[in-house]
Amino acid sequence: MNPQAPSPYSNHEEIWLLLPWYANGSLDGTEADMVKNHLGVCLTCRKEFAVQQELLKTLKRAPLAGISPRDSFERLISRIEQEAASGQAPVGGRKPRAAAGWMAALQQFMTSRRLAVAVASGVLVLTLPFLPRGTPVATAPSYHTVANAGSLAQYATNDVRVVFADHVTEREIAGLLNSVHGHIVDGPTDLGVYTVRITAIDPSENAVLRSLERLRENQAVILAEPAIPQTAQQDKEGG
Amino acid sequence: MPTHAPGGIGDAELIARICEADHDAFEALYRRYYHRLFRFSYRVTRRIDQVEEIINDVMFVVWRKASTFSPEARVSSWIFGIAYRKCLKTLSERPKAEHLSLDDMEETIPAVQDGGLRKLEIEDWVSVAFGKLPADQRAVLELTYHQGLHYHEIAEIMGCPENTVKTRMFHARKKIKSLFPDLIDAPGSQYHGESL
Repeated sequence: MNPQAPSPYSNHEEIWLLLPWYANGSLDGTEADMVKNHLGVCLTCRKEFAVQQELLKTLKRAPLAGISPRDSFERLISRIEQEAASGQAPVGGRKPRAAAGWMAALQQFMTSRRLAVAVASGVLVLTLPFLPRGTPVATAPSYHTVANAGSLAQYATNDVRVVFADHVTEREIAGLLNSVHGHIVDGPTDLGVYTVRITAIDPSENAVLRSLERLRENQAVILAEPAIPQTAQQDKEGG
Repeated sequence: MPTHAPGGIGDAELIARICEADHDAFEALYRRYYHRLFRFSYRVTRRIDQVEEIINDVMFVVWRKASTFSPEARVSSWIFGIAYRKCLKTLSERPKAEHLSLDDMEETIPAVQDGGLRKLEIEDWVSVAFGKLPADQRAVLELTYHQGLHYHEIAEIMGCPENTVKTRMFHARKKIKSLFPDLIDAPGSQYHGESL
């Protein structure tokens, strides 16, 4: 006999909390076995499990037989078409049945944020030969986290990371970045993070901080932070 | 117009096709989720007059954001997550509607036919209990008992820790018991061992 083996009754409170999910059959093997073993020794939980089964049976009933999705769907389609017609074309867009696939894909691309990134990237490539020596160059990977210290070396001290709200258009992004002397050098990542380079006349730390403040004040911006945390910047400058 | 009803394919495949602006796939997904969303939205908001708007807001987001859906995630979690947020938004923004009779509602909500609402109220005694619970607990009950989801997936949908889901369920269970003490002694509520 193993004296360390826990009693099936020792985890009563935990089991009691799990009973609704044991009753709906969603627990996996380990958890389900744990509950099953406990039910074998605990009268309180057996009673509670019976209550859960009763609740499940009642709530499983779906008294919605007289409700049809047809009209609702038609109204939604009308809404999508109206928005598309007014120039606010959905990202997915409703493909015209006769439209060529590549045309639809191009149209979708032209209305997406990727266009802003493409334009910004194009501008960057064209201006690279004219940048003075020492000007930071965009060599950042497409995805990184702050926790990944190695990736920080890819960023300049005047790089900031920005997440825009969902409803913001490319035009608004361009206007906002222009107002803070910034341009996109990378992104968006899978999490919607853009890397923006602040290229003020005086690219001092204060200029970057002022730009950050302005970005953060704007409702179109969900998050704005230095690409390199301040502590890492000090290390970089010191080393 | 011929419709290539993609009824036999999975949710993830439908989403992939919606990314290509496939209208038939979108309609198939809409039909597949309509009743589940109807029920969920009604349970969480208790606002039958807002349900259709919530469903269409949810599916509008699905249409627009299909390309952002992560293939590693579950489509149902994604859709119900959107629905949950829409429900909370509705509850926070819209004052409760003036009282309408069920007959009035059936006339003003075209989707509801043949006494559907009356069935909803009469057959579903638990709606009384639902009315006494806060929206987050209603959502946990509905996702557990009707949608049959694991607490991990519910946490994902509601954007909260798993323990929070368990705690909400705990409080909901206590409240239901206080409202319906007879439930404990109901004839069917006897444990017979191997039921799952």
